Amino acid sequence: MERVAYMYDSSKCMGCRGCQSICKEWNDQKTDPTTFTGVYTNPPSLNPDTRMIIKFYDTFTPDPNFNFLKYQCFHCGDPACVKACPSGALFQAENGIVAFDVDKCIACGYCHSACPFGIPQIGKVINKCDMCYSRVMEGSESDKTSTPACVKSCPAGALTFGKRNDLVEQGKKKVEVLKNKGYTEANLYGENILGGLGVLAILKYSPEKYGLPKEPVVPTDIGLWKGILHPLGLVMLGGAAGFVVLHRALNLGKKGGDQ
Amino acid sequence: MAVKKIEKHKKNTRIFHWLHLITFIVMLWTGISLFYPWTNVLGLTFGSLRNAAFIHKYLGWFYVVLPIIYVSWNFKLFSNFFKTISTFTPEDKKWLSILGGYLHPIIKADEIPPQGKYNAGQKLLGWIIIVFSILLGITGLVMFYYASFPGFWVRMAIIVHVFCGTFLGAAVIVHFYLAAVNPTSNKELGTMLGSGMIEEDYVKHHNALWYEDLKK
Repeated sequence: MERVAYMYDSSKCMGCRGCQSICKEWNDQKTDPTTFTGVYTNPPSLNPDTRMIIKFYDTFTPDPNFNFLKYQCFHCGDPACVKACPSGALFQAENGIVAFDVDKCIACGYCHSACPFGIPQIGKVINKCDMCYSRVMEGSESDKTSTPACVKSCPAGALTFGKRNDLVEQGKKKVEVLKNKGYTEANLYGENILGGLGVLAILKYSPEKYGLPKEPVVPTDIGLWKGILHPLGLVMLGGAAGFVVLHRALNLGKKGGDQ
Repeated sequence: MAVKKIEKHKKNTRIFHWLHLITFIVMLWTGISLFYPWTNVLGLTFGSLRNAAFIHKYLGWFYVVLPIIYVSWNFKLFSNFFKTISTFTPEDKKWLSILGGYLHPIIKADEIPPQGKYNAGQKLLGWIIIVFSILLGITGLVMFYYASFPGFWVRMAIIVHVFCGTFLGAAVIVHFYLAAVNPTSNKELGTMLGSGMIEEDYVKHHNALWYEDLKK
């Protein structure tokens, strides 16, 4: 199955946070009073009841000017969280969506520590963007119930949902347009990193300014954990059990007291 | 004729030993069920894997706090124990080189050097349990408060935790076998159960140096 994705165009976003509200509504997430931290980003970070936020930046240019970033799970092509999950709650669907089964989640938090962005939030169970998995899988094309809620809600046309390959082409074209307009740092975030992100972002400035890592990698130690410690643990436990059985079977040790 | 007996382990020590061992077994069982996806089914002994994870997380606190209570309550006993396991005599080295004769005849052991209250293997196990339990506690704490630590730290903590857990599990299997099953040493089990007493003859044989000390 072809990978699906959605693309966020920060040059079109107007910061209305319609996507943030509809995300709460569709996913039935609780809203809590938050604190004002000096910027418009609110709540200030993702939390166990908030799957996505619009981040506000007002320091990119000398003149007062807002920039935005839609921040949530990026649906990596090579998801570290799925590798780290010990209970099989997290999975990558055939169409590339990284979703989860809350019934299997044991709230260990390994996904949070494995994620290069630290995105999965764990309250009683995991919470993160699942690209409206139920809508994408079960919805219908005609009334747009098969697009993620945030994409459907966007009044500015900053969000597009579709096949990932098509979106990458579109995004590259848009970056060229921005570059011609004088945004020399313009880039398409997520084209190749981490196996290709399932949420692409057209950014007017370099990713670091938005607080995004430029070259994130899947932590190699997760492979060490599963590739080496899994068998090593078995060898130690199994070896000890096998050793004592063998010791008894061969009747080793000095007889009549070991003095 | 009544057999003369010697008390090896005090009451508090015996209670602590079993409480801690039972805690450890539950921790190992739930830990294994979490660590190996194909053993996730073991978690069903607690209703679900999520319950197993919950027990592992919170019983872990008890696993760390229990020894702290024991040591502060019985500091004298512990400091004696600590002194004993901290002194490795030349006899101990010899004992280790032949593995106490437990592998005879694979490792030839014609004569086994006399041992104190604890033989060199038991001293080593004492160290393994203390060091690995502390490591398990520290890494467990990092994993418990994973959101307050950088991801890299937590992932390293998981690796250390898993290594210590499985190694300690293996050590406890051998410990249990030697102390409770192996015919030449299974009398040790009695010193941890009931009255904590052991026959004088056995001590003369197995812990000659300790016997000398007691006679003084």
